Amino acid sequence: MSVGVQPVAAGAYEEAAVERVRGRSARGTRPLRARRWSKGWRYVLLSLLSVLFLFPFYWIVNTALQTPRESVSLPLTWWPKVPQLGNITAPYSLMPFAAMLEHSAIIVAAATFGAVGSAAVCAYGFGRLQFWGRDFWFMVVLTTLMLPYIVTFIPIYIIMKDIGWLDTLWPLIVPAWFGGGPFNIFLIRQFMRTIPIEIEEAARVDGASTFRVFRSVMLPLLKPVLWVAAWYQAFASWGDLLGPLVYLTPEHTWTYTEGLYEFGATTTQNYLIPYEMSLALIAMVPVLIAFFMVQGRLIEGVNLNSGIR
Amino acid sequence: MASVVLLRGDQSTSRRGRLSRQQRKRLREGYLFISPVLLGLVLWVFGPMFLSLYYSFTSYNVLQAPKWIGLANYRQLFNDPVFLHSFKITLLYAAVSVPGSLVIGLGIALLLNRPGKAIRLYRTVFYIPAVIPIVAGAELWTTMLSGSQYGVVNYILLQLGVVSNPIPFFNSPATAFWSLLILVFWGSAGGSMIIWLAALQSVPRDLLEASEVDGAGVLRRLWSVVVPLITPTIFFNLVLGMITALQTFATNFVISGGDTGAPLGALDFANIFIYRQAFGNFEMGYASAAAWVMFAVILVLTLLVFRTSRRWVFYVGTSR
Repeated sequence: MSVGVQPVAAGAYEEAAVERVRGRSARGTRPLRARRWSKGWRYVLLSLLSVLFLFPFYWIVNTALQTPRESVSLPLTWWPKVPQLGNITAPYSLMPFAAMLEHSAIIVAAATFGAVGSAAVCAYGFGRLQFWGRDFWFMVVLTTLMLPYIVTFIPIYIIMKDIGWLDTLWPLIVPAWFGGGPFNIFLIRQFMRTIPIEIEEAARVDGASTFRVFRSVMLPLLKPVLWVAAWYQAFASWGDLLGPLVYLTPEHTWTYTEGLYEFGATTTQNYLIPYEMSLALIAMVPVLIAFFMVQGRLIEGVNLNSGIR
Repeated sequence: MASVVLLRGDQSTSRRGRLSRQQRKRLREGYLFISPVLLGLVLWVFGPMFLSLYYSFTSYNVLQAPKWIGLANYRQLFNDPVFLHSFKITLLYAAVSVPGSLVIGLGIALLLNRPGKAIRLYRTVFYIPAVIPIVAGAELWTTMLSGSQYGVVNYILLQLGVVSNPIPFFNSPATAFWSLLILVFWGSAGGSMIIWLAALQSVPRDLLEASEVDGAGVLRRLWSVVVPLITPTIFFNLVLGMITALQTFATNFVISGGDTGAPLGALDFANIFIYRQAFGNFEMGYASAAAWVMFAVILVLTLLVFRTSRRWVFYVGTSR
């Protein structure tokens, strides 16, 4: 794939350079035809790739709306004769998906709130306050990014079991309240560095306490990056499989993601595939809506992230 | 924890002279602000790490107290063909999937690296698969990559005459590993593309123009001007991608329909193995030992990449 892509792709530089250099060098008078050709190929390739990347989305909608019979008959159905909107609620009679949605909503809301709030507080400490040991602890926090989660997962499970939190939502919420993970702290701290310190100094001169400056001056300015951190945490909590799998055993305690997995794993009959796909589709919808809301900021956030040195 | 550090901080500086009231206030406030994460480090990182290391030297089934057995777990691990197999394929997976999605992401980023409205649309298109929850994405792809003629991919390939029999995809150990890469690349190319785009935009235009005036060809410019300038990005992506790939869990779990690593262990990655030992067989000691081996592997590989990075990562504006 890369072999086919690169020569044409590299043309991007040629073109950009040619555009800028034109009028200054002899090569700037390159025939227009060549540029059109390269531009045309770029769009052909991009369109083909887009079809490949988007086809699964078409297919999930198509399958989710088919009757069980349509989904197991040849030739395959490219669009259901009568779209079965009932497929969206039909699985709810087979498993308690309404309760699962509720559990997921509680976890996502509580974990996200705790993670973003505590990450912002910690990031302020690391980014703006000056005290002995600060950089050392920041390095320690960042280093834990390298620790595989499976190492701590087993003892944490045993701790949760010992305090009687199995089959409750607590194990999936409480750990997020302790700084929200190194990545979120790093992200917020990086963003903070782009905010001029004079704004805080003005507030300090007016006699505001450190906490007051953080709450009333810094927090409002952090809003864009806090949305990004919220997105990451909500995405992780909503899609988490391992946690619910281990902590929530009886069916009535499951999260939506766990229910979706169990539905797919236990119903091996092919004719239930439309139900499975409609459940999977519903799992994607809130994420996609949230993504389109934070999209611009998300890309900015990643930008910062690539600036790590 | 925080208070201990605070005291020690006070002592070490008081040798040089008394702390002013303001300094002391700073210290108190600083540790107050970072106390959530410090507490988190104790409760969810260092405490559990210590416990896990201890468990790894014991036989522990949760119901009875851990029994010390020394290095027996580790000895057993290195004689366990299932464990060795799962580590081998996990490493192979990281070795193929990380560079693979970096190259695909770079290819798309190079195609997209121009201003314009249409490009912004395409960028969203390629990024969307990266924000699909893993379980939903894996179930969708297992449906599409069904090993029978009812799977849409097989159906299209059969109709076009590309294959004469359906490809077994996730039904056969020979194809399952490579089929996994299809959905992994679909899901990960967008993320790496975004990071590449940011890096490509940081390449100064005048450098490209200068090298063009000097007569450098297209590929030459890519290799000699663009790539060296974005080595920090390559490095960053390599490290994070590797750590993530070695910890793959949910995708395989969904495709196999549980902790079996089906078909025939072809998808039995390290974390699936550890999960099965811990929560299937309740061999917490054995599972912890495997987790520590995994940690050691990640540590060594990361250090290795860092080591070599001095030779191939260039930071603009530093003399290193």
